[in-house]
Amino acid sequence: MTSALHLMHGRLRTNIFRDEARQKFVTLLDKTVGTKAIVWDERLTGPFGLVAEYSFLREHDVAKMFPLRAGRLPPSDVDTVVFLVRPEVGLMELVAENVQKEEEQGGRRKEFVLCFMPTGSGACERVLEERRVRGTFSQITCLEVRLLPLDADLLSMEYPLGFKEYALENDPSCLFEAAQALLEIQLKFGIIPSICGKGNAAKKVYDYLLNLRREHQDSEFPTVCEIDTLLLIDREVDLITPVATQLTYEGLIDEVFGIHNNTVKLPSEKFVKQDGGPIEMTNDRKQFLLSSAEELYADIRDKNFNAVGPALSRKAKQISAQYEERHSQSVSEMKNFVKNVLPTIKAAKESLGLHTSIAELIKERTDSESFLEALQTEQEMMNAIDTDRAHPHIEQLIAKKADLTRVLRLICLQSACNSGLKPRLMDQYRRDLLQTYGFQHALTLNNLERAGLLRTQGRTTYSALRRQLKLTVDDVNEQAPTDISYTFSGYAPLSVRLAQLLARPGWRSVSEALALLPGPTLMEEQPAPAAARNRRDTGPLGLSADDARLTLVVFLGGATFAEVAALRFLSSQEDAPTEYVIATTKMINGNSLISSLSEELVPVGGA
Amino acid sequence: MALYTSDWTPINDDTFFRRHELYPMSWAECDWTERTLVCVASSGGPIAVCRDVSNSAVPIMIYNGAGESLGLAKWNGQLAGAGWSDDEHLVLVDAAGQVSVYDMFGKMERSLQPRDRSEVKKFTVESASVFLSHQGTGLAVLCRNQRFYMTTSLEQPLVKKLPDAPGGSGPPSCWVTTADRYRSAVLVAKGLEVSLLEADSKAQPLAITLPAAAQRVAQLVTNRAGDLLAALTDSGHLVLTSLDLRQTFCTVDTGARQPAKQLQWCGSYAVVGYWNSSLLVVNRRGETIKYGLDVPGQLCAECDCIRLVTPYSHELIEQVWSDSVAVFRIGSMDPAAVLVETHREYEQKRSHLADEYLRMILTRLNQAVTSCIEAAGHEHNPQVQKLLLRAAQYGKSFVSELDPELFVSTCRYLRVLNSLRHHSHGMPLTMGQLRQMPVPALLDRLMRRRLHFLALRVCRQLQPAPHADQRRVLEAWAKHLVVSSDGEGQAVARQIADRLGSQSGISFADVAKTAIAAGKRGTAIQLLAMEQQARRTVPLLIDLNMCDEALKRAADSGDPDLAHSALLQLRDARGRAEFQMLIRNYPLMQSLYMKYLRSRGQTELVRDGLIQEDDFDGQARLRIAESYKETRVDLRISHLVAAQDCYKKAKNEFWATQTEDQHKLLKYQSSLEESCNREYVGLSLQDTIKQLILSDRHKLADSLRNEYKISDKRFWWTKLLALAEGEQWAELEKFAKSKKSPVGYEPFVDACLEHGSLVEAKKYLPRVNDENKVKYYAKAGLLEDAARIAFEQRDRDALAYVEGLCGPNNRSVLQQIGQYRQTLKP
Repeated sequence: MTSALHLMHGRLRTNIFRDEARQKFVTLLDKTVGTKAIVWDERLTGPFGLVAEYSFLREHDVAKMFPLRAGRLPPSDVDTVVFLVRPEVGLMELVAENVQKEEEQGGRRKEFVLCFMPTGSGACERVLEERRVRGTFSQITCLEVRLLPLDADLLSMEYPLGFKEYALENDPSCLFEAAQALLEIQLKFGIIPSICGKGNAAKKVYDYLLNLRREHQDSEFPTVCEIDTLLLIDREVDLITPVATQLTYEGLIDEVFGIHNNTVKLPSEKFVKQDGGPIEMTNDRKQFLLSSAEELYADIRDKNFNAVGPALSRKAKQISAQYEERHSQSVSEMKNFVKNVLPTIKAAKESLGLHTSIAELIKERTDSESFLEALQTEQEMMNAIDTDRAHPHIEQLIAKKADLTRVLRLICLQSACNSGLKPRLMDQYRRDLLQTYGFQHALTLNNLERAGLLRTQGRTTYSALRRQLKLTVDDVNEQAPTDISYTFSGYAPLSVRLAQLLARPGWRSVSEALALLPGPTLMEEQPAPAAARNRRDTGPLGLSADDARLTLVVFLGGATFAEVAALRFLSSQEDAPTEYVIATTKMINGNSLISSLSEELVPVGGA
Repeated sequence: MALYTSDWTPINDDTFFRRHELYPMSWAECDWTERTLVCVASSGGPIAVCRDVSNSAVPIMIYNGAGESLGLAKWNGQLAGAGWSDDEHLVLVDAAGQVSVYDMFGKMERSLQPRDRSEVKKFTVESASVFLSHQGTGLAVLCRNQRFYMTTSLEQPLVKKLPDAPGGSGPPSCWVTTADRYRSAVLVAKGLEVSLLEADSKAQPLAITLPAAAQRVAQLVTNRAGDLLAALTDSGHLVLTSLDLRQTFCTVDTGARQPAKQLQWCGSYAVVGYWNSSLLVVNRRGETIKYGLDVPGQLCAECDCIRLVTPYSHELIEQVWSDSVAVFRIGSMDPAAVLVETHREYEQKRSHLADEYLRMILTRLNQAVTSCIEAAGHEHNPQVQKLLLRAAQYGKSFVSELDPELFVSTCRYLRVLNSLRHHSHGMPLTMGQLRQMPVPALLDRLMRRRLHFLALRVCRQLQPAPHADQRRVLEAWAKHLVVSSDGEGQAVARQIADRLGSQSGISFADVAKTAIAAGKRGTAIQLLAMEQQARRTVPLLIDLNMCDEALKRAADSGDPDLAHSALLQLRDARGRAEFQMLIRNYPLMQSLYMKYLRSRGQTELVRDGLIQEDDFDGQARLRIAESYKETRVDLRISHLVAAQDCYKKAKNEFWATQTEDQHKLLKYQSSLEESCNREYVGLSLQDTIKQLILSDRHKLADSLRNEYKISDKRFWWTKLLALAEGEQWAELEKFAKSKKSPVGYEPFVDACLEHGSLVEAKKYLPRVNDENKVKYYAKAGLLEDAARIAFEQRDRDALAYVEGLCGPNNRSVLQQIGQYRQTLKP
């Protein structure tokens, strides 16, 4: 089911991350005795689905899986209980409670194993010691898995709260892990000679990376440089893109239904006739795996949604044409057709059916008045029309007490596109939100302010940025795009524009714009081992076609599918100066970004 | 060359023994008496000499193999046994059973006492034997009660009583320890009965076939591998047999009527006995050689030879290897010998004979080359080594397919051997011994001798690729330097850094740890500054009380685990108050600590931290969060009041006002609950107003609106939505007419439609803004009107829009639209 074949065809062999994770997981499981129950930190189940499916776990004697909850473990008849958690102090109380209750329970002796991912933590073990359960564990280990491939060109650290950690809490854990991950990448693919970056987080990761590299000797790195440039982008630099509505097919699926670890849950009544594809039924939702292993999806995922309809009908025609061919065939050709061509046609048909249904579901949403109005509002803001004043659409949404996340996204977008809100407007929005949605959202607003998503006007930078980086484009060709702005039907994601400009003509040409963006700008060279340095110069005539440069773009704090699409678009251009692979702390969208910063206070049960 | 075989003695036609001097001994130990203790460590180890063991004033001198002094050890007591351990420590056992362990420089390292009330203590030790056991260094003792006790490891001494030897309760006539790879045991003879005693099992009698004349067994000895046994009887018969008795090799009458002073195996092929002025070599076939010896001497058995230490020289006795015999035997026509001759003709005389000779052995050249290389390996004299290797090299060039490995490795090993044998190092190892010894073990031996540079070079010779062992040697050197240097300035650290550089891969932290243990703080600090791995540095810095440096390194590393450990270690070491003051200069550490406290739920400590840092915003946020954890409204309010206070201090007016509004609202809501028996607490302001409107308390709603200065627009929105939700259509209409709507009339239409009343919606349609009219009429399903309005507005796009909405049921509308369009045509 989670076949990883498609991972092997990218520029970078990202599949080795999957294989390695799988291997490490197996080693962990096989080190413990007998049948096992795994108690998951719930944030890890999804990512691990990418690596090891349930049937695979069963082969390794995993009999039960539970989410980590307070209280007692559900009863189970296993020899070993493995806790698989992120090294967070808060979780340790739960683990301790689980273990204590299980011990009090008596009955069959179980072994307890605690496994941290990706590294252990002394502070956590200390909590266990204080709770007097440290000795109960027969093993405390760690599973050093930092990167998981979501696709051949896309790696994710699956670190959901990264942006919150560093932007709000001044906790560098996520950035340190990112640096570790980058070290891992370099230990596999060679030292990356040129490192560029923008933003405070980028600088920190760079510093940590230098520290880490100093701890390793040159000889440990392979002698080739498969990656030429590393671009670190701090999410703080571009807070417009994540809050705007993504308009690519995949982006919209994510916006509307949410894609988690390559799977999407869709209302099942739309898919009753399908028999291939669904993974499991959960009540009224059906789960689908989305990956570039599916040819059609690979083709349309990054298209603007308006171009998906025509693409689907083209595909339909192509399939029927292929199917019609059989009439003009000899018997032997016919045999071949039935044996080889027919199954692929069938698969293609199923795939077509699935995506037609998904597209219909999305179209329902995109045709709705609320969607169109919101989109229009967004476009106005990006084009800096009247962003000084309260936007009537936002006011209306607040008055109607529409979904808070949606409202916050629009306000954050206005804040970003106006280089911050006028103080009076800021106060008005905040007051209206508190009075309408209640004071329990006070800390959420506070957090958004502290994280910089919501701010009062400072230096006006947006108009200059818009001009210099050509962030808005008037005539967008959605069907056959010529510019990355197709991903938002008119707005070119700032982060990707930076990547584009870095490759050609170079950042020096936009130094003014870079100075307007927050945080330091990095343009560093990293000395590579002598043997590796000259890979590019081997060819007598310079670069050959399949030897294009490779840039690793790292989104610190999360990337959106639209940004990924835009980078893939750049890679696919005929005269592309570089190809891209992407790494991110987590795939995000506006909703998940806002909710990661939210802190709704829930009152304790009534007096 | 002619003299080469001068120190060879034939034992039979084909086999020779060789006795040659390794070193002339330059030491001052010329006067050996009965009371002199000479203890030689195997594998070319050090030699301990005590001129008079019974006199405690005489120290034990320790020398290397060449007789150069290493140190002296002071000891007093009644010696029961002495020996060298496997890690080259001198082990002395006294009659009370106390074991003292000295390093080779004579420094007392530790001593082991037998446990009180143990039998060893009670019965005192008669004799003791220190031996190399299968687990390291073993010790066996015979107590006065004629019982044997043994431990197989001095590292983890576990003394076990051995079973009683059969043959009566009298003293044994002789005993000896033996060990193979899997077990250690004592061999004991009582009269003619020989038995093997092993811990945890019964005594195993060994039925050795002894000559009839023998009355008792006078001496027993096994070889190093522990599989062969030699027994000497009082009648002077020497019996060589395998220990499992499957094979008896020979029985030889030595002619001596008194027991030998010493009896040792020479490798596994011969036994050497030492009587007053002669050495008798007996091989397994019973053939003998007699060597004269005019001074007292000490034998030391090795795995492939035997060494003899006398006051004047250090000699080696071995059977000449077959390869050497092939080359050097007088008149040898072996290809190897011919090859050497060929090379000589070629090199020295440039003679055509070289070619002739070469033709003679061309078919067997391969074997000749191999023999020459092997023979070179067994040679001690570098000149001869060179001669043989040159011959081999010469021969090699005529052989097309020869694995160069043997030649290369022999050269490497010879280089190592020659340096080890140099008299300043004094380790007379043979090729066989060196090849058998694992490289790390050899390095350990060199490092124990503080020969770090030699160790490094040996390491580079034997392990060409960079290896963990090299790092180990460098680290040991650095540690030695740190400990042995005077003072604790920066000089040592700089010297280490200069010599090794930062890329040598050694752990400066580990060296620093040694420095700390040796009390050299200054050096340790300097060393830690060079350590790249923060993880290793930070805990040591805290130990050294360098808190600021530790915090800085931890913060810079970004490693959350390290940071947390450092924080907690520091808090434990310094106490909470001082700790708080320490970390305030490190914002990152401060925030990590705060986060830690928060996740542990230690609110009061969080507040302390925030108060210390004058973070009023933070305090306010904490208060707000706390207020939601209270169930009682008055407590919630008091938290919010406190929060408001904090915001005031922070000069954050907006939030101060908002918190104030909120606690006022709570108060008001709670009073509302009392008066109208309905839940209000916790609702937002807008919901409160809505609830009031829904329950017809418009006055109260208005007063709230005034109190909180809600804008017209928002109030209109709230009220119209509330009324529509309550379907209070009359009230809604009255409200709509009360004055001109600040939000337009579109929301009214929407609200009515949403709550399913088209009739009500129609009331507001005419008042909808002109530009939205078409859309809203269409929304209400009034397509005909929509089309009309579009026509009136002469708006073609709007017409098209309405047309697009028409379905098959709206044929009349479509017709109408067609007409309108006609009319609109200019």
